[in-house]
Amino acid sequence: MKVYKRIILIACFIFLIWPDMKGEKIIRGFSLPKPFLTFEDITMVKIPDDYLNLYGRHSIGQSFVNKFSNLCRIGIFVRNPKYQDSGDLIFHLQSSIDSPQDLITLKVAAKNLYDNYYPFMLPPLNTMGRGSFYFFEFKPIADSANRKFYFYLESPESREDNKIEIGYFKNKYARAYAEGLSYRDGRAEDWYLAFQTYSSWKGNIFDAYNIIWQRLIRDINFTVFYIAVCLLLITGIFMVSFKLRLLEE
Amino acid sequence: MLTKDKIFRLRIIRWTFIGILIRFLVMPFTLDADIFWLNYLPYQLVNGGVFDPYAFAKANYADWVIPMNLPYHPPLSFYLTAFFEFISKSLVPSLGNWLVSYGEWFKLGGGNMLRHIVSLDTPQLFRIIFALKLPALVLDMACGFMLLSLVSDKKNKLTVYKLWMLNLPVLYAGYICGHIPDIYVLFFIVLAAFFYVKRKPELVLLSLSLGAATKIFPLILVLPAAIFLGRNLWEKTKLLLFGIVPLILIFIPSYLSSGAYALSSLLPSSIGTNAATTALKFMKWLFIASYTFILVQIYLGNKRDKPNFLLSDYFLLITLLFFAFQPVAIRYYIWVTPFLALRISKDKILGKFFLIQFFTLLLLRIEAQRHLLGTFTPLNPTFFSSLPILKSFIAPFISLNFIFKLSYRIFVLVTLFMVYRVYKYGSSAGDAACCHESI
Repeated sequence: MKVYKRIILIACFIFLIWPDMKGEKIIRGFSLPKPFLTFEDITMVKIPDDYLNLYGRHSIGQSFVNKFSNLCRIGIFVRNPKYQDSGDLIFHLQSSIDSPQDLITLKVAAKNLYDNYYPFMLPPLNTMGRGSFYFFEFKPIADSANRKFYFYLESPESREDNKIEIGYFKNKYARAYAEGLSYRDGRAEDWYLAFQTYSSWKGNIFDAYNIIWQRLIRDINFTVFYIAVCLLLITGIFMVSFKLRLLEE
Repeated sequence: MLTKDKIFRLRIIRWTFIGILIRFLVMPFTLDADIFWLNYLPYQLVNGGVFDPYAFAKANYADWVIPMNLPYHPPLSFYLTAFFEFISKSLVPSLGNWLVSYGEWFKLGGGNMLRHIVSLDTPQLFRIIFALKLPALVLDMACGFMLLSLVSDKKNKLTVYKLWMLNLPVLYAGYICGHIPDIYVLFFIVLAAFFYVKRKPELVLLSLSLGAATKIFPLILVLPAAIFLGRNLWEKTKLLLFGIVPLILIFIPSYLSSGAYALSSLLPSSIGTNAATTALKFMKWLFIASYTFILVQIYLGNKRDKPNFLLSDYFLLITLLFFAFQPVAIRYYIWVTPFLALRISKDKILGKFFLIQFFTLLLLRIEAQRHLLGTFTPLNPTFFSSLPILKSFIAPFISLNFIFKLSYRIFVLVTLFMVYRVYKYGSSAGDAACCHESI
């Protein structure tokens, strides 16, 4: 092999393996999320317009209407700008802002927020270093379809200099999408928190098939036309192939 | 001899049937959320006589379109889609109501594709999706037939046609996602090649100009085509005007109506994925350098009346280089495929490299559920939205960021290797004026 070819090959190899991962781990542990079959309901994956500071006694919350049953995961766009130990980030899910008690309460150490690049929903890559979605998972809430919820976050151990930041949008479409309001220290505000909700799909393969079939027969004229054209095409392929074989022989 | 002709014709018919069948299998059941907006604005022309989509979008959806700075594609996309909707409307009466309800629902907040499907559900959903994708079938088949006329050797003709009928990027962009404006561009590019074979240089440039008026990409082919086809400076200038003036003329009404805002449709902020390629920004300068090099090559070849390559090979080199140095989504890659199909028929290795390219492009999209199994959402909204995809199995184990970077680098290397193959083995056109049988 000529020298210049070797040089090109080595350059290509270096180009390929150059990690350039900016501190992010390449190999992770292996743990599939539970429940496995989940789908996004409220989704806003763009970079938030700005960030709210969360520390001390402050709280930041959002109400929303979940469209589907089995709500099981809520992702919130957070960043911990200085990678500092800001204590715990505490997540509360309630039926409404006036509820006396939480439906779900979860905690995460703020220093671990960046390790949660969720397997199902990676944030847009140009947001790397500017925060990411952290996903709070819980047992699916069966009767969550078209039901109003409220969640809020607090970080009582953090101070202003090691605050946690929560992303938000000023876009009114985003606000309407959630069909809810954002809250700061319990007061409604004119912005919309950057968050996502997920529900889990429950059923078996026959349920899935039944829904497909029911949706197909809703417009029976089109379905018959469609199947007829497909059958005609298949027949045409076989007939032409048969004739070709005769001619080739 | 007659039997051979008949066998050839039958083979073409068989592959036409196979191609249509493959397209039919996905046409009514898959979509991408973009299909709503792509068709909603042109419907304003069909239904309400709105001739300026930019002013309409700005007036009615300012909060959404102004931050993105991309109200709609260039005007010809708008007019063509409106034309096809006008025809579809008579075949699918519920299309109008569906698009109107989309506009109202979108004003209330919109949402992801699952919400699109659930909120805009109608018994005629499959019929509507099918009708909206029909233009892709018409234009894509036209491309197939035009490609046939671009090749003189029968064996190569059949290979090119087979490749076209099995064209994965076109299947994905046109039939799975329903991105019809991308197919318009494809059609005008192939039309330009067709007119070249018919020795109509003005129409070659006119086609490229019309292509640029549907999406700006073909504009990068205008200058090379003008230099290649013009025999002297006056002809080159005249052809260049054929390539630019129609684009300007098409834009004038929108510009007069919406001002500079209409021009934002020409310059989208990004044409590709956000695939971790920001570190490779210098690559756009590499493209500019290589583009200039190709222009010089064309000019020198033209000057001595003996081009180094065929026009289609020059187009292939430019499009490959463009995508090598840009983050790219699969649906944009369809613009490379006609020239690639012509080249693969002569150099089979390129076919294998194309498959690697396609796989790496797929990996670059694995973060988006809606672009993979999620496209089947119309069949069973919650089930298909929840199915695990490749990412679900890869991401818990390996960083997706790493996968993106690696995929993109493999894509770049493979593409550059393809450029090298085309450059090294690309055949000379000989006298450009006499190469009417084969491009």
